[in-house]
Parts: sequence; C-alpha cells; structure tokens
Amino acid sequence: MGNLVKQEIYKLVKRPTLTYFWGFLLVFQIAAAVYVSHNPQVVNPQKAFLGNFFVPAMIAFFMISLCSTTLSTEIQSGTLKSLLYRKYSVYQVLISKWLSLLIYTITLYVAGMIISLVLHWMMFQKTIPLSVQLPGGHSFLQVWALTSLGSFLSLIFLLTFVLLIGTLFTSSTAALVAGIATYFITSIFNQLLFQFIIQHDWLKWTPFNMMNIGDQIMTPSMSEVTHLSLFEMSAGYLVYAVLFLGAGLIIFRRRNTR
Amino acid sequence: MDSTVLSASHLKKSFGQKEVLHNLSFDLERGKVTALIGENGAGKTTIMKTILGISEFSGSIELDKQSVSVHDHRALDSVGALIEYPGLYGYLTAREQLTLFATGNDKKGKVDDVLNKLHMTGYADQKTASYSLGMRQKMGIALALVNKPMLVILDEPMNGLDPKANKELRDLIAEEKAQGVSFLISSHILTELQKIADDVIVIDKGNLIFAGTMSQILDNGKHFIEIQTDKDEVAQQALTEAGYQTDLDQGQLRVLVKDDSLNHLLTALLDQDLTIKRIYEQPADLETSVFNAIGE
Repeated sequence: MGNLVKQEIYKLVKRPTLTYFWGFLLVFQIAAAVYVSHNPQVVNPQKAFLGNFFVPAMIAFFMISLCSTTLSTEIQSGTLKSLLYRKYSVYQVLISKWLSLLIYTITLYVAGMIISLVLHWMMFQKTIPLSVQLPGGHSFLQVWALTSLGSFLSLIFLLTFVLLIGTLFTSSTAALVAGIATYFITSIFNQLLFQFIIQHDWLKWTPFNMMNIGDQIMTPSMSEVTHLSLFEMSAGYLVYAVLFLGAGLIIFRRRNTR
Repeated sequence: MDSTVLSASHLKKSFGQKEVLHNLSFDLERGKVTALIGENGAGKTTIMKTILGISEFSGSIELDKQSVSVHDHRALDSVGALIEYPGLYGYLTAREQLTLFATGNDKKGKVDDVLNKLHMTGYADQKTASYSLGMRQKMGIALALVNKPMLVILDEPMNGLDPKANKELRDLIAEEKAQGVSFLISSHILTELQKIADDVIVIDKGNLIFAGTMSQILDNGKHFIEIQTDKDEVAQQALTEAGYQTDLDQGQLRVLVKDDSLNHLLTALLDQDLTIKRIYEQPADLETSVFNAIGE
C-alpha cells in the first residue's frame, strides 16, 4: 500500500497542472495580502488573515476538480486498467489514490498557512498582534489555527462526497461539472439549513449540517443553531465520510470488475 | 517445477443474461508461447481479463498453483500484461513511467534492460504524449516486461508496429521464452502468431474449439493441393463428383485434401481424358487451419 501511495504522489507531483497551481497559489496569496494591506477599509485585515488570505477557497476549487476527475482521467487515458491488473486489490488501488489526495490537500493547506504567517510577518505585524487574547479566551494565533483546521475539516468532508461522485463518471468533464456543482449546492443549502432545522429538527442529521464542524470547533455556541453537540457532529461527520467512501469503493469495484 | 504455468477450469462468464464464456478449460505450458485466437467478440479479451483478476467469472484460475480472482491478486506479482491498448501518462517520459511501475530493488537496472531490449533508449527520455502509435505500443510491451514476469499476457501486441518492430518483438519473445517466460498472445495477424506460437487456443463465441500445439492444428490432416491441367473445368467437376472440396480461380484449381494419400485424387483425374501439367502441395497455414477448426 505504501508503494502505491508513493506512486500516486509521484504522479500528482509530475502533473504540470499541479505545478502551475502552486505558482498560482503563491501569487494569489501575495496579491491578496498586498491588496488587504493597502485597502483595510474594504477588507478587514484580521478576517483576511484568519481566512489565510482567501487561499482555502482556491484550494477547495482545485481539490474538488482534482478529486472528481482523478479516476475519469485515468479511464480516458487507459491507465486505470494497468493499475488494476497488478498484485494489488481494486480497493488498495482506489484507497491509495484517496490517501495521496488527502496528503496533497494537507500539503496545500500547510503551505497556505505558512505563507500566511510569512505574509503576516512581512506586512501585518503591527496591525495584527498574534499573541493578543480575543474575547473567547484564545489568542489570535490560536483562533487562526482553529479557523484553518475548521475549514480544512469541512473541505475534507466535502471531498469525501466528491470522491464518491468521481467513481460514477467515466468522462472528466461530467465528473468536473458534478464536483463543482456539489460545492455550490452544499454552500447554498448550508446557508438555508439553519432555517429549516428550526422547523424540522431531523434535518440536523443531514450531511450538510456536518460540514459546520469546523465552525463549531471554533465557536462552541454554534451548537444552538446546528442542534448537535460537538461529539454528535464529530460522530456524524465520521459516519457520513465512511458511508461516502464505502459506497465509492463498492461502485468502483463493480464498475471495474464486470 | 510443474510444466503448467496457468490452469483455467470451467470458466464461465456472463454479461447480464448473455453468457460470453461457456465452461472453458485450458492450461498454459511453462516457457511456451500460446496463441489465443478467435474472431472479434469471441471472448479473447474477456479470458485475459479474467486471468488478470479484473473481470468476475465462475470456475477457477490457478497461476503457479495460486488462485487468481477479482478478490485475490497476489499471484499477479509474476504477471505482466498489455490489454487492449497501452495506458500511458502523457506527462511522464518512458523511463519515468517504467521506473514508476518497476518493483523490487534494482528498478534502474530493470528499466534500462527493458529499454535496451525493445530498442527504446533513443526516445526513453521523451514525454510519452509525443509518441507515435508504434512507440506507444512498444511502451505498453515494455511495461508488461519490466518486472521480469513469469507469464506475459499480450492483447494484440503487433498493433501499430512496423515490420522491423514486429521482427524485433518476435525476437524478444523468443529470447524471453528461452529464459522460461510463458506468453499468452492474442492477435488477428495469424501469420505472425504462426511464427512465434508453440501452442494454440481457438475460441468461437465463447466456446473452446481447439487447444493443442501449433503443429497439431496445422496438421489436422487438412491441406490444399494446387493442380494445373489442360481441362481445368473437367478436372474440377470430376473431383467434386469424387467428393473433394474444390475452387477454380484464374486457372488455379485448389483442392482440399484430408489425408496424405493422393491416390484417390489422381485416380479421379486420370479417369478423365486430360493432362496433368503441374501438381503441388500448398502447406497448411494457421488462418486456414483456424477456419477449418471453427468450421467455416
């Protein structure tokens, strides 16, 4: 399995699109930081820093496109078959792909956070003191770390569903459209969800609500609107993630061993 | 060491209600090249996919006494394959992709070795996206061979290869065979298969029609005699009446004979008032033998 994951990571690293994305990410983050430092009245620098200068949204879009098309591109180029008729099981092949994507997402997030810290050091040292205590009792640095962790966990949850969708398509275009549509649908529905939960309590168990885990880690009072404790939400998060990935494995095996 | 490298027993495979493999049983001999022959849709690729554990089936497949199925791929460690067409990562060079798929300790040695054997060193460091059809096909074969497998399964390996590359592939297969590697090869180019295969499996519509050696299928007792006479029409009629299958085309009378004796044929001709100018035997070829086996 370790060998398979290494192979998948090697392929990711060698893909030209991914190399370009690293460059884009760096330029985007620097440009955003420069804009914020010059226009603090338009964008609150503290909020911009807490949100890693908008990089998580870029990472989310990129990873959704990558996760939704990771299988379809291999099907279209004919490479998937040659991965399957080796000594590894069908499940190992798919899980290694997923693990490599997880590692890649973590790498992107950590890189984004490090760049944010560097940009803070270069431009926002005076305006955003990291050690200052905020009303919740956490330092600014802690809140930043929790916010980043929260958005990372929400993205990972969304990606588990996108990975499931990715097993359904053989065309990259269709897979990409479905992946991006998932992002927008979940974002829109998540906005409306709290209204619906007030009227229909059972809706708190839907996967949309589990995407709020990040916010709830950072702000425990979120439980009043999500109607779930952090423990319940964590359990729901894990159960849905396992269900999505389990369904993905079953679909993948059936489609590739007919 | 057992002489059988692979044993397939009672293979059955259905797509929905349609059964595409009907209770097939065959063995592959160690260190031999076996040709898998059949028309399009006969089930050749399906057989290869079942052996490679990427297609569900009922029955059993044992590779070196180890079971293979979609749930158990362990035995495939010693198998290399090229199925349908080579899957290449266009953004990698041949060397990079071969290294990616190489296993064990001496990856560089294995990659250099297969690149040399297939005469690919000249373009091994180019990205495969720029490869021609023939280069891609060679790369697919290189991927099948890179880990020095015990059994190599090649589906239409001659596709896109020019005559020189075809000859190189034949030589390579002969070299590998001499070192004990077994091959299962399907191809529509039967003249090429006739040159390299030791054994033959013929399937038709999912049924096993023939499984035996190349010489057995060629010497099935059926071969052609070509005859020139001064009265070809008369000769044809006489032979047809004598029970022979004949074909007269552009002054060439071809007669299908089923045994080694020509006495009966010659008697039938000499009973007519004609002169036999030339008579010669046309050796059986694989194509004719396969058609005969299928019954067409």
